[in-house]
Amino acid sequence: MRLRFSNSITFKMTLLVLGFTSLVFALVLGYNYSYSRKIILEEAEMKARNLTLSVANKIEQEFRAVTKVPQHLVSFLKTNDYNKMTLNRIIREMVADNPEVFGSVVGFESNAFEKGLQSYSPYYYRTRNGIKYLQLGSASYNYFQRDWYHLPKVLKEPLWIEPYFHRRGGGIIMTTYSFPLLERAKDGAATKVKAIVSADISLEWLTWLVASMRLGRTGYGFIMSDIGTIVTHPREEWIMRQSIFSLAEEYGDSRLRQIGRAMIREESGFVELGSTLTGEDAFIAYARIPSPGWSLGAVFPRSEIFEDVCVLYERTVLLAGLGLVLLLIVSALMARSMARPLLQMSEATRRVVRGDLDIDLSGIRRKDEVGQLAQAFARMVAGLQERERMQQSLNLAKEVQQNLLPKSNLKVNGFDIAGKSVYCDETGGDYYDFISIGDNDKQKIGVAIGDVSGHGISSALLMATVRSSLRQRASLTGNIAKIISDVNRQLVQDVEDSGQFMTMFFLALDTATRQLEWVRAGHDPGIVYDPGSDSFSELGGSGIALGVDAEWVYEDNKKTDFSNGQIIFLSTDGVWEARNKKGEMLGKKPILNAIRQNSSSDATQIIDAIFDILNKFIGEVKIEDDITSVVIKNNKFEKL
Amino acid sequence: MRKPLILLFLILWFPSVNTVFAETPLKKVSLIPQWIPQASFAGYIVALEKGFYLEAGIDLTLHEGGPDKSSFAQVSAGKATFCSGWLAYAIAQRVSGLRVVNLAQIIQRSALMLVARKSSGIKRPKDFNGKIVGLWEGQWRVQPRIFFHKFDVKVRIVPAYTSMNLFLKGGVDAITAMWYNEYHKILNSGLNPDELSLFFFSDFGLNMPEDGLYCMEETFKADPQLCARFVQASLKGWLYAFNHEDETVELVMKHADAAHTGTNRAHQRWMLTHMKALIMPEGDKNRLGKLRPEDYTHAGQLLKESGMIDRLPRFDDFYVGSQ
Repeated sequence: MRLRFSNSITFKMTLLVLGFTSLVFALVLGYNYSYSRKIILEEAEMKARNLTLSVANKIEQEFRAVTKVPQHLVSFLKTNDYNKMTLNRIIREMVADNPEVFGSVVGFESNAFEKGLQSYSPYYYRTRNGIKYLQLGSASYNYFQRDWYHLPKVLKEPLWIEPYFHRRGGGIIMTTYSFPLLERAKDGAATKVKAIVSADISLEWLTWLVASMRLGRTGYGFIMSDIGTIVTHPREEWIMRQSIFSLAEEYGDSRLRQIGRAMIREESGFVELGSTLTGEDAFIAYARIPSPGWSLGAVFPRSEIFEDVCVLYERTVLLAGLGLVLLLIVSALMARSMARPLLQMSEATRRVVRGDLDIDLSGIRRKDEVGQLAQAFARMVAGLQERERMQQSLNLAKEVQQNLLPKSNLKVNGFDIAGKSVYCDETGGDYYDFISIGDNDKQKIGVAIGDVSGHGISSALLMATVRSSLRQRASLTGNIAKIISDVNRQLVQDVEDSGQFMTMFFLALDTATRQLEWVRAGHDPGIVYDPGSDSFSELGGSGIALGVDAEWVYEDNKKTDFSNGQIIFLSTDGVWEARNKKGEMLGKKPILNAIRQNSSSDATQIIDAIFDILNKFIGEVKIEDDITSVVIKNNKFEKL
Repeated sequence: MRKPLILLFLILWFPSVNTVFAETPLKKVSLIPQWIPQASFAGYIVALEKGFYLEAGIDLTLHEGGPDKSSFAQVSAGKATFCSGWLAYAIAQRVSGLRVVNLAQIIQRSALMLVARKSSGIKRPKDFNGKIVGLWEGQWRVQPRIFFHKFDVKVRIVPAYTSMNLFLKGGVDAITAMWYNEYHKILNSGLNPDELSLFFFSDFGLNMPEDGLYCMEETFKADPQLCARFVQASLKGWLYAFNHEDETVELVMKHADAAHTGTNRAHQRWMLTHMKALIMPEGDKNRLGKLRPEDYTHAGQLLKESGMIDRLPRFDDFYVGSQ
């Protein structure tokens, strides 16, 4: 199964790390940014409020200073006598002594200065060439109808007048402080206005002061009167022409109107302004100048307040971005370095599956878990190689052992001898052999069947020893009991303390005389079937297994009539102790039945039938013990 | 080579064609409004700027009016051909011997009003009792006087002049204002409509037309066609102004700035839209420029009642415009 990149460790790990890191960055930066903005705004507000309050205070001091001028003049006029000359002198002095005063006038009510004098208004004012005098009232200037005169007359109180241009449509912006000179009426009832004393001040210093307010790059200050008229502003075309309310109307900004009203009514404030005054969203801090009731506003664009923090965060985001890219690279490299040995091992596995055990993982020189895995893998492959070698050895051993078993079945003098052996491992401890006994005359045949304790290589070695020992001894003289006893003695020496032993059933058949001799050394008795009488009998006898007691003397047993058609069946216990998948044992009955049913066939066929039943019974289950059987059939027909 | 020559020939020929076909040279006349350049004279400014007077064969000079000049005095002194002015004032002038005639009645309804602060306790006419009211002098006192008399209230009257500061600084509880001018100034000084009580004299049976176009009787008799053409062009100017608000506001601002009046677009726009309601009430084009006899009679009654005149001149002697 090919590895898709999207499933790989490299991809997944990188994605995960990157994803989570980005998320964490985003959260942290986002929170930081919004919190910073909050703090910055609060700081900006504080600074702005302080600035506007302090400047407003300065302006207030100036205004207060000016109010003194008419105030003093009025006190003087109230308490002293005066004529044209003294009046002129005092007005002139007032102007001379107070540089912030541009000009000063005392305007009298009709007949109030002198009977018959309809109007009298001495006015002193500054020029480049010193302080000049003129009568303010004239044919073209009816001072009675002017605000500076009319308003304090009606109100009977001092007040600051709405600012105006010094010259028509332009010039210096001025404002006037008027103080009414009241006198008690002759009948002592109501007070009457006798004259209005005014001081004009130029607002140039105000314009300059406000223009010099430091409010960042594009922020600025402005002043508006108590009816909203713009008195100073960076946009000259607005001065004295627009009020904050007319601007609000022209730009359709109702919030601006409300702010204007708030500025007139409240002492100070800090609010969001919208974009009408500066073209972009801004904040405004404002403070009232109590004496004239005017308002100072400090406007600064929102973008400027957050400019620094924006730049900071742009940089931070950039750095974070770079960091993420680096992280991406490092993470990918790390993941790959981890994945590569795994891929190498995966590739090595493929080769192992194909049978190529010659793999070299020495390139993986890591000390971590992956390195451990690589080492374990290498050990495993070495183990596999070892097993492979062992398997080869076993296979060789199997070949050798198979060659030790009879290569073919015997048919001698009418006797049919067939044997079959199935090992549960490559090598086994079961064995059977057909041996010629005595002096090579081929008439006496020895049939041995044996079962070494256990199975596997150790049993196989023992089986080979016994086989050759038996063959060697059988070729010498002696009866089979002696033969077996000698073999036993030898075997006891060979097995020493290993505890191994071998059961054996050795049968000697004289094919001429049909005489049977046998020795039973701890093995299951042979079974004889007589088809004529359909009966089974045993070839018993006593004797312990070989390899146990060196001094044991074995007995031989004899049977004289091995008649036609009779079948001798020798087997190891693996046959009837074979289990099927249910765990049931085959038992002897099916075997006996097989012998019975196939009694007319030859030995080979009988063996095959038995093994057939065995295989069918066992099924897919792995056999636990070696299975060996030998069938000897007397096929000789006796001539009667 | 031939095309440019033909073009050149046509260019040189055309003006001469014009002069050949023009019957008479342009008549040089002048108009003096009764106040500073503002949107209440938009019709004349537009007619001048868009060439309507020129089309009518009139070379018009538009004088700058103001508080220091009486428009009727200028006309009677021969310093201007035509003037714009109040009906009440014109009738009073005619009665006192100045032979002016009304060529057209522009403003059909009274825009005069009293503006009071609700917080001074004035909500209905009767509440004026004992209050201080700022009133403009002269013909502007006709309606208020009758109003106070009608509701039997005693008020202390204080003269009001051009600024509204007397009212804004709290010197008076109420003040006269024009709906299209000073009222808006009060609003743009920071007062909201819901803080004010408004009294329109036209709502109290004291309605009468205001601005109209006048000239000396001799001027009219000497050339009635000229006067008619002048009125036509002026009315055409007003119609254009009502249909082209933005352009008109710009033209008015141009004239106002030239006279350094220190106004702004928001104010002129307000004035222009309110002029439309006063000059063409309910959008009725048929009444444009006409003085109705019943309105003239009613105005005369109010003037008599207030003592400004003792008799009302004949309608046909006074009004020479279209019926």
